Amino acid sequence: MSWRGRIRLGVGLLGVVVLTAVLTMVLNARNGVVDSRSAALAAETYPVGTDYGGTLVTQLVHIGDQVAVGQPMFELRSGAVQRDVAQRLVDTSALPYEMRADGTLVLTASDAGRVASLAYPLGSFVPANSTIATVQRAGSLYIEGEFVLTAQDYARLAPDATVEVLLPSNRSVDAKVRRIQVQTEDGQARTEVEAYSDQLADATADGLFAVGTPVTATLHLRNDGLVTDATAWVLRKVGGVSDAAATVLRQIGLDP
Amino acid sequence: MPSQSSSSAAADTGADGNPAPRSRSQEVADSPSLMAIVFVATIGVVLYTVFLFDFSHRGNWIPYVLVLVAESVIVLQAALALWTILSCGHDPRDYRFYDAQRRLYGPGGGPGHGVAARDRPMFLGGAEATVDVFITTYGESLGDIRRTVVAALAMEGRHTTYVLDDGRTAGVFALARELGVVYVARTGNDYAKAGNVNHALGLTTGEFFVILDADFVAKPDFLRQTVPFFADPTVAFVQTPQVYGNLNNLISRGAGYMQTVFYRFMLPGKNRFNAAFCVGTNVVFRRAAVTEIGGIYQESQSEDVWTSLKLHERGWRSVYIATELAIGRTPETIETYTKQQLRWATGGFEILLRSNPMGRGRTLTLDQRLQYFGTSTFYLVGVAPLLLILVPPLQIYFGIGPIDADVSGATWFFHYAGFYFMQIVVALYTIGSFRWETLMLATASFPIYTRAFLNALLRRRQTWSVTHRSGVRNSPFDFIVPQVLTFVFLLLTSAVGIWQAHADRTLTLALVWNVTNTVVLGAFVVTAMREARETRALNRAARRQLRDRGRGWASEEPVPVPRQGEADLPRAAVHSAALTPAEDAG
Repeated sequence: MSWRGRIRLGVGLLGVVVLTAVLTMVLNARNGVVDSRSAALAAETYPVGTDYGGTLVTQLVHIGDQVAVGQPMFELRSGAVQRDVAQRLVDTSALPYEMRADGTLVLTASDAGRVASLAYPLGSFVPANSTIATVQRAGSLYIEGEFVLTAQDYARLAPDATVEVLLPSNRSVDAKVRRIQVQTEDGQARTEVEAYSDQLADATADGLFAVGTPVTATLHLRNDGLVTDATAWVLRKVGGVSDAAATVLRQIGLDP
Repeated sequence: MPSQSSSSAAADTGADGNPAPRSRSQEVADSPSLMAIVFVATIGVVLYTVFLFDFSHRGNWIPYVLVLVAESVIVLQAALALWTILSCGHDPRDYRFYDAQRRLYGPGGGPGHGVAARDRPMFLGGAEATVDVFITTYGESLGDIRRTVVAALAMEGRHTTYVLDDGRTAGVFALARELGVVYVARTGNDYAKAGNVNHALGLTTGEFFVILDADFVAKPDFLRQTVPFFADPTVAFVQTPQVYGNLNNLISRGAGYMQTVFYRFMLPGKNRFNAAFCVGTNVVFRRAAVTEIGGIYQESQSEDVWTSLKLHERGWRSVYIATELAIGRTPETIETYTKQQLRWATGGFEILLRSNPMGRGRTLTLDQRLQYFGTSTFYLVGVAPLLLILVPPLQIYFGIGPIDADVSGATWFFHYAGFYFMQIVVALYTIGSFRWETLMLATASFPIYTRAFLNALLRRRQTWSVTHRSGVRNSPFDFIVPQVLTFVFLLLTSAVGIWQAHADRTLTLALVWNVTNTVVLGAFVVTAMREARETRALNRAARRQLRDRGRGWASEEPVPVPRQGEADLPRAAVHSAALTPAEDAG
């Protein structure tokens, strides 16, 4: 072979080996993750209801309204509670509701949040022990995702695995898996995962994303092995080199 | 008279016009079963096309587009080829041909009249037909040139033989003088073979001229089988097939068989469309036709196809006969194979890019447009493996496939096999055998065709980093660096794929394909390694010989180009200035 040919071959071989190594690292990284079949935002809710039957006389909130702690939501005129109070069967101070002098019950929000549903229209009779509205507790958003895992994947699912969530706004949030439910179909584990994140409250603070908003969730599995270690080592080295380069640039007066 | 044997390379010269046994390829060409097989294969083409273009089967865009582009080119060429093959039963010999052939040697020119066969004058339409035979040489071995010249001299019918030596070596000069043929050399070698022939055309006057490459040994009845076609005044050239006598190693077998279908079925079919083109050697031209288009086309390395195109544009007819009238050599080394394929493919792409046969400026018939379009896009089939080789690694590394995962493997296999299996059946039926060497070589040649396409696109001339030293062969690896790199990439990818399949405990189609591609390219690399070992041995022997002979290689010394009016001008040497008939040089 001519020397030029040898050099071309040598440089080419080096390039191919480097390319294959990078691609293998990409593949390995992909091995460590599973994309959700479906995932959506979910939130904790609490009910607003009454132990006494009565007529809904005032409705102070509507679906979607934000409520603060203690904010009045409904007024209920209840003959039953007036009778009980009159007979001193209950102590007004022990009631979980504020009671007006005219015997009207004021139902308030027990936690900040957003009204998610209303069960009774204004003026209707509400039977005893029923829920009038549900409120999504503020800052309680979490991710509910469904993943299809092979048996091998399931074996690599750590109890506190990370779920990477991509919101519709293209903002990415890391969440921790808290609850896993699994059902096996055709040898594949259909896994429902609930994942929580502190960042999620911030990311959805503008109230744009309601419960049920579809998101893309990526479940990170345990991915140990030579390639993972090698990838980490390379990334560290690359990081070191770019740090060094940044230092040099700063020293010569350029600020990257 | 029935058609002559076209498959037996034996000594069947057919000189006396006895009916030769019908050859296999002629039988196949006439067979009604060929129609049926081509019909079924066409159904395979259609089903596969419909399956490919059904967007509901689409997987990821990137591999899908790669597969779609590659397979579209293959399917289009397969359809064009099937269509052309259907026409290959057509025999261009008509009454006029047989009549002219019967009267070729005139009333007194028959055998047994005391005139040597090679000196018998030939007549067409009552007038004597003058024929020049040009043997183009450029550094070929003296042994090859001698065989060619001897055979050319022995052709029946009066003709003048010229050796057009672009290599300008003393050995060829001596050989020409010894055998009594005219030696022609020129200053420089501009426009390569086309320039060489055009230079000779300026020195000669024959009504017809034959072009023979330095390694093509003509049969005695070459002229008798070709010249009578010129009784039709619209015929510009008669082309005969290239047949190879050296199918003795993997490269030559692969390269040779690749052309079998072309010479036995495609070119005869193209005849029907009046679109058979010249392939550079074993061809007889009418000088008037070539003069009309300003000589052999010089602006391309594929002067042959371009010249044919120009002639067809001017309304000239072309004839191709499948009768084997000259036997030559096909490339035996990767170097020669690479250079040959690169030259041919560049020529094809040049026609597509610079003179699109579908363009409005062309004065071709629809038949010719379609055929030339097929010819100029043919080598795109050679680029297709590049795209297809990339698809399995995409699936292995990124998990993106061309076909939706919901499409069952059986559905895919039915369409895929329906297409490729029928192509193999057609090949089996027409050639009689299916050569894995051809498949391997076709797959491993994609860098050549890709480079040819780029060269044609950028109007670049290929230069090689190796130097050509006479007597010393270059290593094949100088020419196949891309193939070696692709092989290494596929090998590593296969290893990664197997590692992945082991971890997932699933075997994917992508991995199977990738391993197959690795094996195919691996076979090519092994072939190259064998050739490299041979090359080293040959070069060692050559060096030893050179040492033993002291200076050596006297026959390779260039002929000094004589100046005008120089006293001791070799009498047999012809340069632009002086033309001396060889007969006198004796």
